[in-house]
Amino acid sequence: MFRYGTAVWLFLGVAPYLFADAGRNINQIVGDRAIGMAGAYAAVSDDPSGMYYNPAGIAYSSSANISANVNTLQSYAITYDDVVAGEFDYVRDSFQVLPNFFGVIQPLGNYTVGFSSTIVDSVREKQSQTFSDLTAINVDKFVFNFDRIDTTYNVGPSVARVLDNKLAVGLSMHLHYRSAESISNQHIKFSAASGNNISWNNSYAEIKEVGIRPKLGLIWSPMQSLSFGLSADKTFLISGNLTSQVSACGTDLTNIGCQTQSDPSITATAFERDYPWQVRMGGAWFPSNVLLVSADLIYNSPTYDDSGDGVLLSTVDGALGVEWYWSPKWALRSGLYTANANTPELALGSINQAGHVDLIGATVSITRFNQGSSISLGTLLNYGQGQSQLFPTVASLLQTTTIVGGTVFFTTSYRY
Amino acid sequence: MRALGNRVLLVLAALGLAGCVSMDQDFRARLSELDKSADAQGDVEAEVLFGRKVAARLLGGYDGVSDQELQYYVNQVGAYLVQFAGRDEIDFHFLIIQSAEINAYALPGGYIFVTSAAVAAMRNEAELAGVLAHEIAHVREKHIVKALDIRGVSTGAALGQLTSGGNDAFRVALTQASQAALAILTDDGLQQEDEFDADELAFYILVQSGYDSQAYLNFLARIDQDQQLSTQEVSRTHPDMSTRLSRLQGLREANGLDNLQYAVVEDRFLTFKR
Amino acid sequence: MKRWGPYMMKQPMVWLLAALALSPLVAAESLYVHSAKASLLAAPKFNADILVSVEKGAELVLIEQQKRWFLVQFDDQTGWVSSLLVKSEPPLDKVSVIGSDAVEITGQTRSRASEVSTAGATRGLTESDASTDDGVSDYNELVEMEAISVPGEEIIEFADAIVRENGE
Repeated sequence: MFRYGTAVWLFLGVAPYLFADAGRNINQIVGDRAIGMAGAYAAVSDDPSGMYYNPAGIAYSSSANISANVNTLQSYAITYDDVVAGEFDYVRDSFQVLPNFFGVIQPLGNYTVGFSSTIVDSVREKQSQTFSDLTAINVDKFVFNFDRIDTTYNVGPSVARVLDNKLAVGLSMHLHYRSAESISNQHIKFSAASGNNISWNNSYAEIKEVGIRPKLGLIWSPMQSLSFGLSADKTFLISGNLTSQVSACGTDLTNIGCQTQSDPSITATAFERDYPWQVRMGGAWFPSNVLLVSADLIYNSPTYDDSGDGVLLSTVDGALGVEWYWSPKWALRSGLYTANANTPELALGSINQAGHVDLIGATVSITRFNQGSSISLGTLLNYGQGQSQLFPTVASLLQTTTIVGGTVFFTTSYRY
Repeated sequence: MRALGNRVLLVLAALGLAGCVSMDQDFRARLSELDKSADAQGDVEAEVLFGRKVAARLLGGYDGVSDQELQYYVNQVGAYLVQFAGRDEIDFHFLIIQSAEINAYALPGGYIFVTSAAVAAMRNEAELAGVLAHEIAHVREKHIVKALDIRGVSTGAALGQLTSGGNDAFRVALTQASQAALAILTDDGLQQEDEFDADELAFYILVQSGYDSQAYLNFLARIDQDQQLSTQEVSRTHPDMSTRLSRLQGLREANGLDNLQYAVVEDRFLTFKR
Repeated sequence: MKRWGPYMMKQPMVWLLAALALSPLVAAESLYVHSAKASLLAAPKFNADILVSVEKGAELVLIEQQKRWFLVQFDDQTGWVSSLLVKSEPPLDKVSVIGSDAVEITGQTRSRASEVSTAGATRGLTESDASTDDGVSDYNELVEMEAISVPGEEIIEFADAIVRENGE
């Protein structure tokens, strides 16, 4: 008879929760100029990055322009405190090289048209840890392997038009494509005293989403040097499919065969997901041709995600950015932003809770200009601390979760 | 909430009243785009090189008048006017070319040609100054370059490519561009608005420099009315004369110039004109 | 006791004064004189009184614009200057390409576009180019045209006749 004892973490049926770590609405900060300003871009947006933040802004671009985040080296570590035997930490690492934005805009008569390809969210997490001789809980060895990739793309055209010399309007029509995969494998070898032998669990889940994300923007300049931007969008899912499989087997010392097991068949289900309405409001002040100060406020409405965290709350995030030219050929950009969790705060005594970690981030970059082209190098750091419930069925266990991330980015743009 | 909104409106209105100069989006341009130092140097070089190419092509079809003293005199008037035209980074060059058609040509980079027929129809230095001022205005506003629709951030960037000689495609394009430039000058003409702008700027240049702007109007009226003069080319390449004249007259009235004394310098002109 | 903060925020005058105080930051723009001399006039008309004369390169603060006239501030003087004489960038030094290192590009037919990228190539148009052209250009006459040059002092003398006629 398979004794559960204190080895309570048996993750049968965990598949839907493989994606259930702390979610948020602000993920990748994209765009050659915007990333240096921490994404505070709704009222600026007058270059290809504008297609993502506020498509109306591209109407004010002075020329055709190609822009690319050539590479970002992104790394972060998530530490879940005291997971194993109340003592040891789970550490998940992520490292990826990610070209997360490409855009091109072109004035065309009274309109400006453009095309962009953006990675709005990308996760590449890995964990592989071995814990040995956990005598307090009768475990000789515990091996845990976890790997998760989750990438969301927005690809599509944009168009914008100046209505009069104070107002411009724009529209981006993006194809939303999300591809996510998660696999976890854990193997527990119990000590003889427990009467159990081995517990093995392997879970796999894959998500594919296809949708459309229209984004409408407005930019209003009530007076010289001041600009206000407003953009709103929502991702409408056309199809969402979840494929999952769980294999598990627990053996004890007295009987033959798996005493506990799960049906290892692959199940595929369609799911529905409601992405939030996102409204981004920003103001920018251009006091001179060397200084620019910009601030954004981003609201996301409450929603639900059947494939992941379930009910999601509304979030309000902010970003503040500044760009300063110390010479015609060199500029410095810096910014601060928040990426708050859209999951509810956790409470002891409840089960199936998703993680909740609010992040703050800071960016700084330096740009070199040369006859129509520019190249930037910068760094983005983020940090947050919150809580998770890695073992969804154990109401009494919550883990303090810390996320520390760093990105080095290298971007370029060219006007022609 | 409403009181707050009213106060915000008040602030915006005050800022608007106090600060508003013109409401285009120029404030968005950053220093890197406005940097004229190294880029502008290259732009101007390219413009002058292009202008030389077109000028050489024009001189392939026309000859300069052999009267060297007259040529020098025209350059003196031109050099004097150029001081008031705001493009002191280039050298302007003026030449009178032998032609029975009344016309004048402004090429990029400051190469300006006036036909001998045009000079023959002039009565005093102020009239010559008027024609030269109109052409100088075209160069100042880079009308030809814009008319050729050479796209680019600064048109100089594209001109720089054309004149770089760095590519067979560019060389062919340059030849085509210079052919197109000449065609604009002799056949198609520039945009109407550009011609009106040049007239207006010429007016201001004349007044700034002390010449009588009425002289320019007199010259235009004369060549329009005199049936014996060859004005086909100028009619083909410019807006109709009555509109031009009425606009110039309007400028004179708006500036209250009728009561002021300006120079026509007739004597000096007649010694050279012969 | 009244709390200062909320009380002050409610006064419209405070907002108005704050806005007006900020407004120079919003509107300041510089213009630079491009002609040898420029006059600041009392009114945007040619017959207005001259207040002060400024030199080439002087920086003026733009206050207002009316068609072809700018209301500017120079030191503590405020006056109107003709838009012809100023621009928003400082004046450049004279650019001259005539007589500059005229590089002959030989063997052009052999070289690939990517190889011809030296600085010398940017001055690629020389008189010798006439032969690679379609033969209808006359560079000799062009050079003669460019050789005519009027020295600065002569222009000042030349202007005498004009100035005299204006005075009458």
